[in-house]
Amino acid sequence: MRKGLTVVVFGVCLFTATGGAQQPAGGVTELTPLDYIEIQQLAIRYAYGLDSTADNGYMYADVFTSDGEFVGRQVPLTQGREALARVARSVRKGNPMYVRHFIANHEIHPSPEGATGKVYLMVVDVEEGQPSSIYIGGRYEDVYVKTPQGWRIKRRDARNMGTPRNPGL
Amino acid sequence: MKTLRIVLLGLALPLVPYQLLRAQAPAALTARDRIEINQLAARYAFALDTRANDGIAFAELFAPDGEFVGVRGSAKGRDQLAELARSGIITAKKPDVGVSHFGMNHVIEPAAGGAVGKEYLVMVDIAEGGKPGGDFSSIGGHYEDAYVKTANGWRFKRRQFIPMKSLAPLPESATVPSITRPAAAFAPVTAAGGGQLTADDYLAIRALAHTYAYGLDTGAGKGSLYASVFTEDAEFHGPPAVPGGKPFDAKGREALRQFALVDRGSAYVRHFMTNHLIEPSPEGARGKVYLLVIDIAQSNKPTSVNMGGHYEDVYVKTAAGWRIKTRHFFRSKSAQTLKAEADAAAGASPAK
Repeated sequence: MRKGLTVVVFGVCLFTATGGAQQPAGGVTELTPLDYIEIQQLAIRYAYGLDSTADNGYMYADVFTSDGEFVGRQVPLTQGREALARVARSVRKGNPMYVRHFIANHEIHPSPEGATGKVYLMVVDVEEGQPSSIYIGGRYEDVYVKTPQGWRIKRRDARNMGTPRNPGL
Repeated sequence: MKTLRIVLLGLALPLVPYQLLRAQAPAALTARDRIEINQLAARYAFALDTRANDGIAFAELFAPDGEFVGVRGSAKGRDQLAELARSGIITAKKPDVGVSHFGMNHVIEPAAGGAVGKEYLVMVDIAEGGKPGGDFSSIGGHYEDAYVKTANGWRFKRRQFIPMKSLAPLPESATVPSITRPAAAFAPVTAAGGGQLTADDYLAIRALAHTYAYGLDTGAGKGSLYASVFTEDAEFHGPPAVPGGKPFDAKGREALRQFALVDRGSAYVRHFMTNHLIEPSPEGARGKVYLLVIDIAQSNKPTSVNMGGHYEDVYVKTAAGWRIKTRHFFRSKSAQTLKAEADAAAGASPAK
């Protein structure tokens, strides 16, 4: 079941681009340098988890909180560890040598929940002996929370994506 | 609306500000400084691609007297910078999905008055006009930056875009050797006795991967910049870069330096690194990093991806700082390709 509709408003409230440094407001804890790095590593682990399908999809699922959710333009909302692991397992081409999700420009801000962020994505089909192409691109908008196991994605919104070149994974 | 001052510039822009600042007495940068400068570069892309707040978001990334210098023009000060963002640096059309500038390989160094940095850029047209997928644009190169710490945080004092240009003939094929043995499934190594990494450790290791790209692409110092990211006894293994070639099995800085001997000049960019995953390990740290070898458009050839894959590294902390101890490169292969290769190898095996 979908939880936490309050997070829906984050896109309006927190991603209003101001360009300038985000000064922590009331109730917002400043992030340490290690917080920034761990959140960046989280987004990177997301790419490896999806491309490699490592640990039967759980490497991908475990970058989310146990009730974490992914919502995309092309896919319905996916929530919870098992559902998210199934998504990773469904990547038919996935294996430890497969690279497809290239991320860049990871912007992170402290927030009442912990942190929010947005990051560019280009999914590039690049395989030896075959012509390369960009399958899809766009950006994720995220909410992160710090759990006892470290930073996790509470919600990832992939609706700011273009149309994929071809259907399917 | 004020009219933007457009100053036509040649392609051979002077690099004096970057080099001059870098050469002067630098002050140390903290991990927070480096993170904030890194975030500044990330915000730059969003501000430019979304043209947020009518261009003001872009202008606020610069110091009050900050300056952007591009191929077609320059802008200085808040009003000109905002107008530049509103009108679009490359084209008046805003990207359809608000995503176009992909920045990678961001290196930051202390310098007189603050810091300097470089960052690769490749521009991508995502789903333009409703067209599925995306295409690399003809625009690519790197930025050369000067940063200054203001009362509001780190800002660009100057950002100059340098389009890709090679002083030497462009390579016809991949310059990075690949190996065909299976990559290791990623397994956390912390349980095996690795210690904790500090923010400075992560940043220093990340910088290694980026400096690797600059060293390989430019050939700076006759390969010495490239070789400097490795330990003296570092190894980089692999089979031939081309079918039938000599197996690749380099060991030691001098052998590695041979890979970056060609002087292509400081404006040549080709190795775009991203997704650098780093974990502590008994040796120090291990990591993986994605690579796209992108041939930016030149001489009527469109921008294309030459190859893609990932590196798997072991890093050690030496007296001179973090260095790459071992590096393996793997070209991207799907599960289906690996199975086909395995089936072919099995079929080719002599019967027992």
